[in-house]
Amino acid sequence: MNQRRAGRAFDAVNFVALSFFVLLCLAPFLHILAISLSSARAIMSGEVSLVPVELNWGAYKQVFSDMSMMRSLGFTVLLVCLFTVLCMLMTIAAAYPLSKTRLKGRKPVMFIIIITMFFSGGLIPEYILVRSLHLLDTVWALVLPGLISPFYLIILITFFKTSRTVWRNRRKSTAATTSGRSSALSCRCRCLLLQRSVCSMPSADGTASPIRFCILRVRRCIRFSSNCISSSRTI
Amino acid sequence: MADFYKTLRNTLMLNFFDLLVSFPAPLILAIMLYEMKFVWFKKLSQTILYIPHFISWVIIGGIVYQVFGTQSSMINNVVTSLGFDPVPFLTDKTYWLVTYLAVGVWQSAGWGTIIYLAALTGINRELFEAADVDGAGRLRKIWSITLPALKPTIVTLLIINLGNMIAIGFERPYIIGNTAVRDYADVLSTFVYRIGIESGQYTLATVVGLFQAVVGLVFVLGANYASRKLAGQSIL
Repeated sequence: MNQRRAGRAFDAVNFVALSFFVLLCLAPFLHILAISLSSARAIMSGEVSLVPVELNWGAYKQVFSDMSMMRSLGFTVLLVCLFTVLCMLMTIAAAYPLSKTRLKGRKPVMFIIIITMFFSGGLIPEYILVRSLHLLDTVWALVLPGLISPFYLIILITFFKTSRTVWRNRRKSTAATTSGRSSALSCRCRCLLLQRSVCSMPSADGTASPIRFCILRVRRCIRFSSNCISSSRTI
Repeated sequence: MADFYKTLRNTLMLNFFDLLVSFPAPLILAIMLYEMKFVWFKKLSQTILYIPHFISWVIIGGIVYQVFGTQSSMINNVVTSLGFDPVPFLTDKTYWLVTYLAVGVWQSAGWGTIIYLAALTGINRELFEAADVDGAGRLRKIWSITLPALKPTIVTLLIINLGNMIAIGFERPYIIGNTAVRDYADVLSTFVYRIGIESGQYTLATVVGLFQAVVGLVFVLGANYASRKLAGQSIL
């Protein structure tokens, strides 16, 4: 009982504190919005805080009637699309193999990538590089140099690594098989467990060829899981 | 080159305080969001907390002057209407430092939660159920389940942040800073900009940039080594 009350108090404090932070994030924007919609006189006399005073849309009309602004907006959208697609492709292609510890030469490659994170030539060498690659005045000058962000690469590598350990842990857990809940999952877990135990067999007697063994294993696994599913249906 | 040492000191100082304040903020926010029971409120607050990240520093600079300025700003209007003297948020060195840090937290804390929240989705819910059975309270569960689950992410981010100790963004100190607080606001990146672009001394600017890069590399390798020895994990 006491526990539940403490939990409720925690929820209340959490709700209030989070609301406070959200308001803190929102207030400056409301202030700016109010200023953009207010008349010059009201802003000067300091009457505007969160609600517009003497509403007028003049500034917005002026901005959106400017063609160059709309053109840069279009270019920004194009740039974002292009960059996102290419950046995702490159970062995933780099992160997945680098998350495998058995990959040879992983450390040197990682090292080279990390260096670029902290060891940039600086403003002027970067400009000279872009000029020498004849990328000036093209969209590629904005896209190519930042395609692999080491920061996101590291995050993605950590993600691939943890997702694998989580899966491995789940494979090991026999809790699911005994609890009787979520029978489909436990089925898969036990099936994988079996795979692992069978996997260690050939080293013991060393007779089965790898391919035959593999087929054997898959067949066994399928048989086992189908049994498992049918038994869970009857329950 | 007395200016160089001053900018170096400022860079390290600003980054150190920034790490102290801005590093735990997203972690706390992420845990608060994770513990939030109402899904609609969680989603709403997440969206609103992300907004400042998408605003460029130039716009934020404008907002900062509107909110913190000495005359007729959002905060000082309230302060003066209560009968106090206006607070010199942007023109006094110490106040400026606080403003600088606060704006940094405001801009980056919400966005920083994404990484932690992504790591938190990997937690097995059964752990919480088991903790409930054992009679653990909310704080106990945060301490014993949520935080250990976040440990790899925290260490990784800490290594990266320590490595960036000497690297400082150009826009934030340049835009929020002004001549009145030059003693604190003049950092390496603004120094490079001033001597490289404004005075045209390319070699000097490149040397400073290179120095920054070398020291940064030493920092990150040192932090990585320390973390491998102390916490048993590293990013290299």
